[in-house]
Amino acid sequence: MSPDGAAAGWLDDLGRALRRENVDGWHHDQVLAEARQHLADSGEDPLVAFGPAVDYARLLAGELAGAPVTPPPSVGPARLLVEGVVKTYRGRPVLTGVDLAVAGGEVAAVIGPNGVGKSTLLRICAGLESPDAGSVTVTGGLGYCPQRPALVDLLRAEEHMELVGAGRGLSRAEARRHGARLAADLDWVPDRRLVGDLSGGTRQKLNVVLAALGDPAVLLLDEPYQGFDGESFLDFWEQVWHWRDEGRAVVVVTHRPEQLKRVDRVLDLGREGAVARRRSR
Amino acid sequence: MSRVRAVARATVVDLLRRRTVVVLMVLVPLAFYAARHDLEGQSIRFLAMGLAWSLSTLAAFAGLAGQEIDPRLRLSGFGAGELLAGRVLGLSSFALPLAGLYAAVVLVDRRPERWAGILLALGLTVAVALPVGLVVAALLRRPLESAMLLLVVAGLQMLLDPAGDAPRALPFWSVREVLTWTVDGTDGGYVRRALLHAAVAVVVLGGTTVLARARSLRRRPHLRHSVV
Repeated sequence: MSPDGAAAGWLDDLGRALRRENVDGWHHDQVLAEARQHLADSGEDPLVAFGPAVDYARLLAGELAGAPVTPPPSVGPARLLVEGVVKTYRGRPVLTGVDLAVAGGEVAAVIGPNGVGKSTLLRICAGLESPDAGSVTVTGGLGYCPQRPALVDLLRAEEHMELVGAGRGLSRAEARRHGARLAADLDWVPDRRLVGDLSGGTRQKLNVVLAALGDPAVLLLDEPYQGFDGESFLDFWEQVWHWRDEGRAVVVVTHRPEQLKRVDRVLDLGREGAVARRRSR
Repeated sequence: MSRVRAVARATVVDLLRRRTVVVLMVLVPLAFYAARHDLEGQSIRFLAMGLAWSLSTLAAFAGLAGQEIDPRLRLSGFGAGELLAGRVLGLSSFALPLAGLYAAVVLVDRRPERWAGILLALGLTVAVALPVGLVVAALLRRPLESAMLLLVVAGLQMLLDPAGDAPRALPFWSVREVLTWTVDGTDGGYVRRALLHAAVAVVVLGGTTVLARARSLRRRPHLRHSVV
């Protein structure tokens, strides 16, 4: 049985409050599922059962902070393996022997100042650009979200999904359905507007959706949240943790420091001899 | 085949939503035709060259639009050949009815004795214009430069006497040659030469487009895919 309108609204508030408290991924889903079940079974008013959503989220975040860390899903062999990648532009070395290994169930952040080669590295990983030396091995399907959304202004969002989905072997209906689900996770409902009429943030959401369509095992995301508002930014990272929980290998180019403490690896291209550092969760 | 159809569908939808372009596509050859309506041969030649410029420019813009999204589609699983074939299919499904419409206009308006020549000339216009536009897009990769070059090509083909040597180096010489046979009642050698020229043009221009796009969208050797 699904909760009524008041309960559904309270659950939405709880979801947002949990993310603000940095409770996401598996914990976020679990708390929401348990609260939803309780409200459905008991028929209680959520304010009576749990109190205000914000307070309840804060309470849970405090408890989880003191709780033993949930063991992450088992980390397998590398799905993305970058070995000794070198790239020089007009005599200027950009990438000097970059190594990176990202397993299924891991999130890697690529950081560094402007012009240090973050986007170039992702383009090399996607096979859109050749390195001067080095190799990249990808295990499973690959999804790439470029920094500048490569979209057709006069097509609708769903038409993009159908087109990209066709390449991934999805029927038009499957592509639309899967795309709508991914869009909902980013708090976006695609409508019939042409892509050229969408805001920058919404175009970026479509950019992310297209990269993730068909559930590729490896996701390369090049600063995909440009133009996102605060809530969308949180939705995006929530989605990244979901992908990690599902066992995908995710690489995110980012300038934003607030999520770095939660990723599994950080590749700082601003440092000499860039090699990814493994972080404990 | 479903991937080719998907690209063709997107090409057609993208094109039909450019309403002003669609209107101009229909009006430009008509304006050329009407401008010399007093002279039967000239009006038909102008119509064919107007159509050649319209369709080749349209193909160039479709090719340029595709270059933005093609890398993403390639990564999604499309082959470079499927992308190109889909675009040609989409463009053809727009260009052929347009050529049919103009064939009907000329046939009704002029009732030429060699009416098959009109059908053949406009068919060759479509067959040559699409690879002309696509190859220009693939090589120049910029819209303004592509449009200017196509204008020069179509303009020269319209102005130069097809009996000379220089016009034979231009892609739409076959269309002019067939129209000479149609309007002036020359011998069948004109048609044979035209068909040969068109075939060579399509193979050379189409082949160059295929090579350019295949190179641009090639699988890079540094990237290895292994199965899960």
